[in-house]
Amino acid sequence: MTDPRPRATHAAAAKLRIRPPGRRRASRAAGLAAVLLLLLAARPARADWTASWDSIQAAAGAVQAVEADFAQEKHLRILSRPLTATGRFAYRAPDALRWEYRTPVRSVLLAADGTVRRFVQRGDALVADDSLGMAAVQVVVQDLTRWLKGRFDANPDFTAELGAGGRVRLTPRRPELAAVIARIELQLAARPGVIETVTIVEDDANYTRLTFRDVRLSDTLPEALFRVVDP
Amino acid sequence: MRRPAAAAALLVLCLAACARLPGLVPPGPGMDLPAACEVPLFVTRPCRLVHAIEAEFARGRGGVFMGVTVADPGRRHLEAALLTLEGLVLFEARSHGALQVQRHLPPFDRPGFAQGLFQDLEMLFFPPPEGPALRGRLADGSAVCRYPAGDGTTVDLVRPAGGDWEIRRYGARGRLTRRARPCRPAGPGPPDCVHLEALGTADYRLTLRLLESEALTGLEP
Repeated sequence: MTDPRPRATHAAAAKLRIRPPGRRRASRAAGLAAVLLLLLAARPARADWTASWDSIQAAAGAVQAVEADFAQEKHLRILSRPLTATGRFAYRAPDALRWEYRTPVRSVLLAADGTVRRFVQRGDALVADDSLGMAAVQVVVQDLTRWLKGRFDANPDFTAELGAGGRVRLTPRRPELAAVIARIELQLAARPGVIETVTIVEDDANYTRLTFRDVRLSDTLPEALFRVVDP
Repeated sequence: MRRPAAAAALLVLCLAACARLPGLVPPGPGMDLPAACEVPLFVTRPCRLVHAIEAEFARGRGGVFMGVTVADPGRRHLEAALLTLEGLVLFEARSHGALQVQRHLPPFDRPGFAQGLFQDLEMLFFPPPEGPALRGRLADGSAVCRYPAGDGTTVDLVRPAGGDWEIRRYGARGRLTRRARPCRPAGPGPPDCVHLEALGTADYRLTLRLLESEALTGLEP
């Protein structure tokens, strides 16, 4: 079989290092197929568990206990670089939570059996915190445990939208709340039952991003983790 | 029962009426005054400071917050934000001539809070705008530079004998309303921890622990 195209085309293509059209089409098709295969290989877990609220709740509901490290970045209008904090959290179904900041100021929040306590570093000691912010902390704890159960649509103060690729967006229903938090965006991880990032947007310039790392799922976690500051 | 109550009321009235600035002994010939007017807490160039703020309010309430301050001493411009440890912005404002509050959530939305906060920040980080009107010593031997302000208040920069430094602000009637000092002997450089005490009608005590300090260039006009 002879190539009907003039030799000049091949020569020019060789000069410009362009493949002839026929080969280009074939290689593009092969490339597309490879990308598609890769996507198919990479997506099933996420597509499976983040497809609907029901599938999210089913996957998250199967998680009995989880621990992770987190990095918190606070972006502020008046900051050129974000304020960073690091910590660790632990959750055990149905509602035991430990939320601990290690830097820059150590604090430990313990929630178990409906009781929330927080301890904050003052000077060289961790002391019980009965501050003005405890009411807000209790609301945050309630929301965190809902999210960890996959119940993103359970808070009546927010409208929950489930987007493609495991993106969840929570928008306040009431203007009073919207004045404090414009929206909350959560990115679910490929691994079923795991949250990758939480972004709390206060306004265009001010937002907080939590990124979870080294997520460890298990059947249970020790009781002391949720009751004792230094277990 | 009426007499003790009346006596107490009289005492309070007398204290209020009789309160006045502590007297200064002017430096006489040969009297050596240390550099009381130089407080190492004052910033000398535009900078951004991040503090952990431990607050104690009346009736034992308190909390720990994060504070971000942008200070430009040349223009006497300030910006400030107060955050929870979780990162929620409770208060944000700037003072570029006039005070502009950009965000204030309860309890930091009370009338006068923003003005009071910026007065505190100005007292902590900026030296008084004019030179001292008086220099001298208190009865206890502390060296003092005294700066009366146009609104009737007075700021004293104090070097207690053998001690560190203090900033004291007095109200228009001469009552001590604020006192700032390093948490521990700080040496000559900027301290990394400062106590600020509000006395009188405002009753709170703050401990500011410096977490980050960054020199700034090219601030917005």
